Amino acid sequence: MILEVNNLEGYYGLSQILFGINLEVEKGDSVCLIGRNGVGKTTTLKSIVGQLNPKVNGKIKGSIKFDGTELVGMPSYKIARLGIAYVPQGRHIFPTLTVKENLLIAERVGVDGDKTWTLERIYELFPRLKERENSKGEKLSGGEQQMLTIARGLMQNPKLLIMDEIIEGLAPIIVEELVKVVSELRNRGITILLAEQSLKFALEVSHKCYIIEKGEVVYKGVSSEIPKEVFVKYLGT
Amino acid sequence: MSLSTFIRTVIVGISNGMVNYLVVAGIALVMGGIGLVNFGQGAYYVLGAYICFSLTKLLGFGWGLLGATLITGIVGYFIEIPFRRLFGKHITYMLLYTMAFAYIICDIMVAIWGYQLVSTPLPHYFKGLVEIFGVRFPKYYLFMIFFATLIAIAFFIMFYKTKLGMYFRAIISDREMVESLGINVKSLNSIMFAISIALGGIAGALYSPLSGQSPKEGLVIFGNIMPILMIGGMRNLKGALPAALLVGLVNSFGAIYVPSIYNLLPFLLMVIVMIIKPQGLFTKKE
Ligand SMILES: Nc1ncnc2c1ncn2[C@@H]1O[C@H](COP(=O)(O)OP(=O)(O)OP(=O)(O)O)[C@@H](O)[C@H]1O
Ligand SMILES: [Mg+2]
Repeated sequence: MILEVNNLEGYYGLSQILFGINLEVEKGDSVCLIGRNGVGKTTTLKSIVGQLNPKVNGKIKGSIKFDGTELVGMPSYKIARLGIAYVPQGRHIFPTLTVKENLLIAERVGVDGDKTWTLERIYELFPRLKERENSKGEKLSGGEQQMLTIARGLMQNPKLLIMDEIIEGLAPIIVEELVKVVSELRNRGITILLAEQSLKFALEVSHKCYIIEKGEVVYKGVSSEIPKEVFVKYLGT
Repeated sequence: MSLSTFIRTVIVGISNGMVNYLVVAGIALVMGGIGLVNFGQGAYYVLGAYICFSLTKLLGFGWGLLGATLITGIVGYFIEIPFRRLFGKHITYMLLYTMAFAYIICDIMVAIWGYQLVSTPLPHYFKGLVEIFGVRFPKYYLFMIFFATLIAIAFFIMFYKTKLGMYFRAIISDREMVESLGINVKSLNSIMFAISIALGGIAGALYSPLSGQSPKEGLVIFGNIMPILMIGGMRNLKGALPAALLVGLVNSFGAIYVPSIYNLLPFLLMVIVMIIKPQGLFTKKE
């Protein structure tokens, strides 16, 4: 297991959001957390990347092991350096930096000296970003911004790529493109952990699914084998 | 007003404006990057002036300028450590805390240099006037404009063209995301602080030959700078430049036309801007 989350509890101030999440991600796998609005998907991902810290009035208990290293209590920049890239919900590109700068700022040699992703390779996968290389981040369309956040994550040459609701608010044609991008990343053996509300997208891009409700994992299974009743029961679709 | 008085007044206005711009750029940098308003910036300005004074006497004016810059930069690097606790705190807390530090710095200066007013002795080559196209300019004012512009350009290159500046710009818009890219934002804060304080120090050193400084002046300088911050637009590094020049010119012409009240003109301008364009004269509305 590259990632093991055990009995994770997460709080904002006094309100508890996560009630003992358990989840595992195998190397090379694509795993999706799926659940409705406000069930704690983002909170789970933030816990992993170290953004649920006392600075934002957050607190976590339990254990998160990445490649055997305990992440709980580690500052987020150190977690990133272990090889975790985070594509947050709401994109968070740097609006005043150019596309190229948005990529270069993330440039990093991977943990085992991995240099797979360079600016050139990124531009091959996302030709649109090459065209817009010198535009400010804020000038990009929503779809382009989302491509940029994924590309930025790859520039870190991560061992694990975490992506939070990457199709939110995007047109179907762009979603199609993102399906292709994620599939391409899976083919290249990149380990992926996603959070999604859209069942269709989740099933298209993941191998395993965890269904989350009110801060707990209520179901887990191989995406293509989960019976329809389960989705009806937990997601209402 | 004769042409030569007019030109002289413009030169005085611009030189003061450029020097003040350095102070404001330093304040605006940490305001944007760390979310901290350093009300005590004036203390480091005066510190720069005193260091320049002492080093000039010992070694010469060039060393004075260089030493003031480096030493205030080092002070800034370390002063960031106790300032960390201000992160995310209420602005009242920042005001009290940064002013307390300004008092501490100023009183340390009193202990070292006493209460006497000092002004850096000008080297002979900066004394007097120089004639260009038949118009006579005060040499040191021209040097001040030249040097402050050089520093401002260096600052802009750092901010817009280097990797360090790219980090600063990214931190200003989204520090949490920068950290999640594996960048140690805390260590960058120290560097940002060093640059901010050094900008104040250079400004103080540059201005030190022109008027006598006393240590306690450090406590009021923020007040003089406020109109520039406000007119330019808070956190707006670019907008602060025209604002600083405007305020400089308002001051220098005011001193001639309305000498009894010229000090209040920048504040009047600031209040008007706060009413009609609160985001700043040189800042686009969000
Ligand atoms: N900064 C915060 N302070 C306090 N409560 C928060 C904060 N962020 C989120 N919450 C609360 O935590 C709960 C879980 O939020 P979270 O963002 O993890 O949900 P989510 O599953 O990602 O939802 P969505 O699909 O809408 O993104 C929600 O009830 C939300 O209101
Ligand atoms: Mg979410």
